[in-house]
Amino acid sequence: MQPFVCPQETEERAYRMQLSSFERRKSTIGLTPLIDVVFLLLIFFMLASTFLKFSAMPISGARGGGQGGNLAEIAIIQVRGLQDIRINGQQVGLDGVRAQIDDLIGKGVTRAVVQPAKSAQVQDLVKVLEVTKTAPLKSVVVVR
Amino acid sequence: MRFKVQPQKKDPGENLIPLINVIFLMLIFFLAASTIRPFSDRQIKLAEAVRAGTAGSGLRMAVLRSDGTAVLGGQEVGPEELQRQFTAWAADDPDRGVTLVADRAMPADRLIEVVTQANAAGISNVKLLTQKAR
Repeated sequence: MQPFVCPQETEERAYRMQLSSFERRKSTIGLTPLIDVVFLLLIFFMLASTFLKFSAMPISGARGGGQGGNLAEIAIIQVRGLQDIRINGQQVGLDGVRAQIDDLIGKGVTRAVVQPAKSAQVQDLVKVLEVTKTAPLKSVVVVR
Repeated sequence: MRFKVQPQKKDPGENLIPLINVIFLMLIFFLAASTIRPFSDRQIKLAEAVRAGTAGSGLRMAVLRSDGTAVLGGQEVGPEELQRQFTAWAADDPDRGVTLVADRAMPADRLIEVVTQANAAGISNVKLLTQKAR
C-alpha cells in the first residue's frame, strides 16, 4: 500500500530530480578543456620562468663639469683583467684590491675612478665594482 | 566463432584525474619556486655577482649583446636609435632610470660608452643587471 503523498510534494520532487540529472550530464563535458588550459599554463610558466637570482648594480659614469677635487683624494683603478688590476699604478690581483683600497683610504683617498682597458670584459668590471662598493668610499665612477 | 568483446564502458574522465593532479602540482611548483625572467633573450649570459638584491623595474631595459650591439624591445638598434630612446625615457621621467642587460663577455668599454650615452641623455640612474653566482 502506497503512503499518502501530497500532490504538491511529488511535483516538487520530480522537478528537483530532473534538475540534478541535467547538472550531472553537463559536468562530464568539462574535463578535457580543463586539462588543455592547465597544460597551457604549465608550458607558459616553464618557458617564461627562471630560477636565477637577479640583482641590479648601479653604475655611475663620470659627469663633465663636476667639482674639481683634490687629485690626492682619487684612486685610479685600471682593470686589464682579473689578475692585472692597477690601483694608482700598483699592480694587484682581484684579491688584493680591497686591501690596497683600505691602505689608500688611510692615506686620504675618498673617491675611486675605475677605468677598464680594451681587454677587460663586463664580468671583470662587475667583479672590481663589487669590491669597491664594499669599501667606505664616497663615490665610485667608471670612465673609458 | 565468437570473439570475446570486453565491455569497456568505463568513464574516460576517471583515468585523467591522477594526470591532472600531477600537472597541477607541477604548475604550482613553477609558480611558487620561480620568477618570471626579466628579459627574454636567451643568448645573453649575465655577469655574475656574489650578492643578489632586487632586480629593478622591468620596463626600461636595453639589452647589449656580447658583440656590443644594442637591442631594444627585440629590435636591434643603432647608436642613434638608442640615444633617441634614452632621450625619450629621460623626457618622460628621468628619475626612473634604465637597466642595462649586458652580456658578461662584452668589452667593458662598450658598457661605459652606453652608460655615458644614457647620462648624456639625462638619465643619471643607470643599473647593470647581474645574476647571483652559483
